[in-house]
Amino acid sequence: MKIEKYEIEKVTILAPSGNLVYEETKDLEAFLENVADVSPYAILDLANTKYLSAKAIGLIASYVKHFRDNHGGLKLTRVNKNLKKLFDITGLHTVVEIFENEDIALSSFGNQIGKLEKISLWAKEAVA
Amino acid sequence: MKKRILLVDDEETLRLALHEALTDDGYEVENSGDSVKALELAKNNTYDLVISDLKMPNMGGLQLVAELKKLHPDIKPIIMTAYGSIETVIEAMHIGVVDFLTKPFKIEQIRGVIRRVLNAAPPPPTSNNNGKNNTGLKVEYKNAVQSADAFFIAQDAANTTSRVFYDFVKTDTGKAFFFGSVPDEVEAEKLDVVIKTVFRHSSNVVKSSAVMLREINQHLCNNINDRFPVTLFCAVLDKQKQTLCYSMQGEELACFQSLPGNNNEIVMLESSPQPLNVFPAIRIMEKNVSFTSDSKIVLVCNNSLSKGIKKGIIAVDTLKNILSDSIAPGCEDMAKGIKLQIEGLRDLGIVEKGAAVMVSNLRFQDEAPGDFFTAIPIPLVNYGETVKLLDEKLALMVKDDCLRHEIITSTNEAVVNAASFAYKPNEKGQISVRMCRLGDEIIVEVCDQGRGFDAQKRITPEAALDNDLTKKDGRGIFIIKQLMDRMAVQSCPNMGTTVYMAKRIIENEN
Repeated sequence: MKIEKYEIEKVTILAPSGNLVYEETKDLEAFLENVADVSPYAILDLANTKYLSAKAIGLIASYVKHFRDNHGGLKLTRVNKNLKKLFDITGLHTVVEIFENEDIALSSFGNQIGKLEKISLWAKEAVA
Repeated sequence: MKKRILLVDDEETLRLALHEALTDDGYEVENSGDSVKALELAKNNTYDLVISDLKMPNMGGLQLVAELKKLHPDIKPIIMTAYGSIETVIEAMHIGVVDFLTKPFKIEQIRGVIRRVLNAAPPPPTSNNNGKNNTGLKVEYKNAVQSADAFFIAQDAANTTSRVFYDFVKTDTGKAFFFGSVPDEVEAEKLDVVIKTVFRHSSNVVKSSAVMLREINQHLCNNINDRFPVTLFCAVLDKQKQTLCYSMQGEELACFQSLPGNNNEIVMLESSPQPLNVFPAIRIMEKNVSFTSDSKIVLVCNNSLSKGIKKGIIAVDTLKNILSDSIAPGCEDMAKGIKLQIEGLRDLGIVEKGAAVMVSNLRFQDEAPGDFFTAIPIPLVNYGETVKLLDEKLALMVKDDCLRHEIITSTNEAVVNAASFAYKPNEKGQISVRMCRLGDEIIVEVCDQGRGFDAQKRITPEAALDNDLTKKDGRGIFIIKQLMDRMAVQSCPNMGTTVYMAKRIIENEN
C-alpha cells in the first residue's frame, strides 16, 4: 500500500491511499512508529481510505494516545462519513480528533506548537 | 394439609437456613444433623420429602435414602452434594432419589426443585407409538412457554422418540436451558433426571455464556452422550449482552447468535431434517417443505409471537400450521412464508416491530442476479484488492453507499478474524464469502473451510465491554453486531467457522 508522507511546519502528514484492512494496517503501523520517533505532531489524512478494519481503528487509537503522552497529537482529517460512524459506534470519537481538512487540523496544533516553542526559547534564554 | 419435609445435613448453618426458609414457604419441616437420628425420626413419623446431604458421618445420604425407602416407599428423596459424580447420580437414581442439588445452590433453586417434586409432576411425556396422540408433548410446550425465554417447538412424530424433556436454570444474566429426548429402547430408568442433574451441575458457573455452554457440553459429552443414545440441545441465553449460544449433541460447536433489540424473547422453531437430529422424527415442516439443503434452524425472533402464545391467542398447533403453509420448496420461500404469516398476525392486534426470521445454512441454490461467491486464499494477500471486488459485486445488489459500507466492513471483520485466528495460518486454504439478497435482506456467509479460528481463543463479546478503548480485543465482532441486523457464528474444529450476517436493505431508490 502506498502511504504518502510530507511535513508542513513541524507536523508530519501521512496520507494512505487505499483500504486499511489487513496487511495494510502493518504498513501504517510502521509509518506511525517512524513518525512518532521524530515528531510529536502528526496528521492522518484518510481522504483516500474507504474501509478500516477494527484492528486499524485500534491502531489509530493507540497512537493517538501515544502522541498525546508525548505532549503532541495525532489528528485525523478528511474522514468519510461511514468511517466516522465506525469511530462513533466503537466509542473512539471521544479519543480521536477528526477535522474537515488539513488546514483546520494544522491550526488546531498552532497553540500547542507555539507554547512549546516559547518554553524552548525561555529555556535557551535562561541558560544564556 | 402441609407437606412434611425431613432435612438431614451435618452442616448446621445450611441446615438451619434451609429449615427457616422452607418453614416460611409453608412446609412442615424437621431437621437433623445426624443421619442415624434422622432414620429414628422417620420410624415414628411420615414425610413427603427428605432432603439429605450425600456425605455425612455414621451413615451416608444414599444409605439413608435406601433405608427410608424401605420404611416409606412413597417418600421422595433429594440429595444435596458438593461432590456429585455421574456414577453417584446414577446410583442415587437407582435407589429412588428423585433429584440432585449441587452445592452451593441458591435458595430459589431448591424451592423450584421441591415444588416440582412435591407437585408430583406427571411422568415425562411419552410418545404414542402410533403417532396419533401427542398430548404429553403439548404439556411440555405449555410449561416451556410459560417459564422459558426461549424454547423449541418439537413435534414427536412417529415411532422413534419416547421421552422428551427440558430443563433450565436461571443465571445472573439470563438462562441456560436444554431440551432432550431419549429413545424408547433405552431402558435406563430416569435417565432424563440424570441428564438434568448433570446439566445443573455444569451450568453452576458464573461465566460468559459461551464458556458456560462449553462446560455444559463437556459434562454432557463425557457423561451422557458417550454412554447413551440421547439427543440434546443446549443453549445459554444472555439477556444483558443480547446473545444466545447454542449447540447440539454435546458438541464443542457453539453457535453464537446476536439478538436484535432489547428484551426480545426468542422462539426457536426446529426445522431440521435428519442430519441435525436434535429430536428424532421432528415433523414440523419436514413433511411439507422441501428443506433438502443443509438447512438447520429457523429462528424466529418475535416478541409478539411469544406473547401471543403465552396469552393463548396463538396455539402451538397454529404455529405448526403457519410453518406448514409454506409449501413452496426452498429456504427462501419458507422464510418468506413465515414472515408473511407473522405479518398476518397483525390482524390479531399483537404484533410489534422486530419480527425476524433466520434460516441458517442457506445453500443459495437459485442464485439471483448479483448473488456472489468468492474464495479468498489463506494467507490473505492483497486483501485490499479483494475488498474492492466485494464492493463492486455488492454494488449490484445495494445502491446505498452507507449500507454497502456497513456490510463490507462487517464482512472484512469476519474474513480478517478467520485469517488471523486460523489454526494453521500458513497452511494453504481458503475463506469463502457468499453474498446474496434474500427478500429485503442481504445475507453474507463467511466460511473458513475448516481453518477457522480456535474456539478456545474465540473473541468473546465481553471483550467489547472493556473500558480501555485503545486495547480492546473483540472490537471486530462488536462492530459486526452494531452494523448488521443479525449475526451468528458457528464454530467447531472439524467444520471450521462460519459467520452468518444479515442486513436489512431499505433503500431510497431516488
